[in-house]
Amino acid sequence: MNAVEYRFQLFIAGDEPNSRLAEQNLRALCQEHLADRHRIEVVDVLHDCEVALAAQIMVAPAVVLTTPRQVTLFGTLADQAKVLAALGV
Amino acid sequence: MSTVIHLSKYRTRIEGLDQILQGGFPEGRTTVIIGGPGTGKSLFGLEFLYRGALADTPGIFISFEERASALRDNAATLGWQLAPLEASGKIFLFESRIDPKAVVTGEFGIQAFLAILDHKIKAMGARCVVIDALDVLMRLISDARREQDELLALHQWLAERDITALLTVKAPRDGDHARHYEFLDYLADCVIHLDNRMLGQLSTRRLRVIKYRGSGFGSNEYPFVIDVPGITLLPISDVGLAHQALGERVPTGLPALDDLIGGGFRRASSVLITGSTGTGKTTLSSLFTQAACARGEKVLYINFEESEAALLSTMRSPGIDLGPALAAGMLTMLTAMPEAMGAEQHLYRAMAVIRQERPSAVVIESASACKRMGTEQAAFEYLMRLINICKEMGITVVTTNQTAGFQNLDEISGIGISSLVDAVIVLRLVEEAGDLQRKLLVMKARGTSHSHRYHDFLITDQGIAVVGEVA
Repeated sequence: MNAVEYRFQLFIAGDEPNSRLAEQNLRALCQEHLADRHRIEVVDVLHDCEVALAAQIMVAPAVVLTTPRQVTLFGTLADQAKVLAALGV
Repeated sequence: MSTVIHLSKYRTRIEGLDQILQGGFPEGRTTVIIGGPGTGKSLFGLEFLYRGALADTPGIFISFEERASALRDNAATLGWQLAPLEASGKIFLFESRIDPKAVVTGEFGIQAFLAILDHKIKAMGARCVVIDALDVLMRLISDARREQDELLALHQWLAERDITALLTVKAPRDGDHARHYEFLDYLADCVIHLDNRMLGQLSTRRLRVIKYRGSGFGSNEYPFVIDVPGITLLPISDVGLAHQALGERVPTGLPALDDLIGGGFRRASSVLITGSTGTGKTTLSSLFTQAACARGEKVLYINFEESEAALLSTMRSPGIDLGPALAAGMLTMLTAMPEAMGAEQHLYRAMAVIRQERPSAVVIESASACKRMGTEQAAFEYLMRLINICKEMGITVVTTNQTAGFQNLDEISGIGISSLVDAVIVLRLVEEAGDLQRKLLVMKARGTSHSHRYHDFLITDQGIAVVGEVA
């Protein structure tokens, strides 16, 4: 089994619906496909806008996979197959 | 009794723009600048912020396309030093380059962007914001309704904060993503279009105000130049470009050329004769001068290229004698080195002669030499104002321009006067069977149907002729 850890930055905008949906979708996906080999850092852009600025993230929800490769996703992650393909999982 | 509420204006401090906008951008409201690539949209935004920052008004610039470093470099070429203003908190310049490989699935909003903006606006006390290439952000949103929602939300968000905003958007290509332009046009209080048009090989940047809610504005197309120390618009056309209709035909002095352009140049029109050295520009303008004087019309010949004596002597070889016209006072020569004085003073001298002599035609030799007055911008303003004034007075203007290269047709003027030019005659040297042949092309002749082919242009000791058509 591949033990590479997937590190995510999840950018949310407070508790607005799309952000909550994205968080649910990301956690469910990780549970199912990346159990015990993922780490999710949640950034609330309404509070930590400097982090969003540094990452040049202007929309929320957004997910940035930082390792093992750099992938940026925008939206609620509604289409899991599309997300998995993009992440290379 | 009705109450008139005057919209407050926010000075742009861009040369000429406040005059066109009757005071500036609408304060606390949104202005949109739409234009194709390379039309100067970002520079308008940058100069607006830069001038404001120099006057102690903090502003924010967000670029969705160009790198911040590239913007700083561009600014530096115009002499605008952004770094000290950034350091002192007068300008906050940041880029947000959206990863083109980013994957979109499901809905999202621009809250992160607004949160960043809000934070910076409060921290700096910013009063104006430029969002450059908003279309790049909007392109992420594939749904028209959501895109409108986001634009509307952004617009309201800015208005609530009393921010004077400038949004720049790339002009759509043939309906591609045209929808947000229509909506932005409707949303914004002030809409400005920029373009950079080529006419023949002449390029001119122009600005047009499309709408200005609650305010009057200059409604012409305004040419502008981008050069040190910044953007210069020429609202001069408020008076000047209220064009007089082109007048009757004025013989060019060369009957075969008259035939090519429907009988001659139009009176009160502006004609550009362009070509590399030795193509016959001076010959053509001297022929025109000689013919006009012979008809009893006065001509002012402004020569930045050579002295009166030199011109008279070189023109004798193809059989043109300007001496009698000079002696009779029909021809006035005004010669000067372009470097000798500033553009303003050159203009002043020319105007003094025009007022005194009331010529029916003015020859300017040459646009290319005018660049030596200093900057290209100075030359542009000189020509622009001189040609404008002449057109207003019903004077026909013939301007020559020397292009650098032998074959180089790409650069006809380099100075964006094409909007003021009604006719363009291109002269070339072409090698044929080991000989250099002169060729003449009427590239543009407003209000005239004309041949679009090269003709042989012969200058010999026996005379001057335009013959044949070259396939």
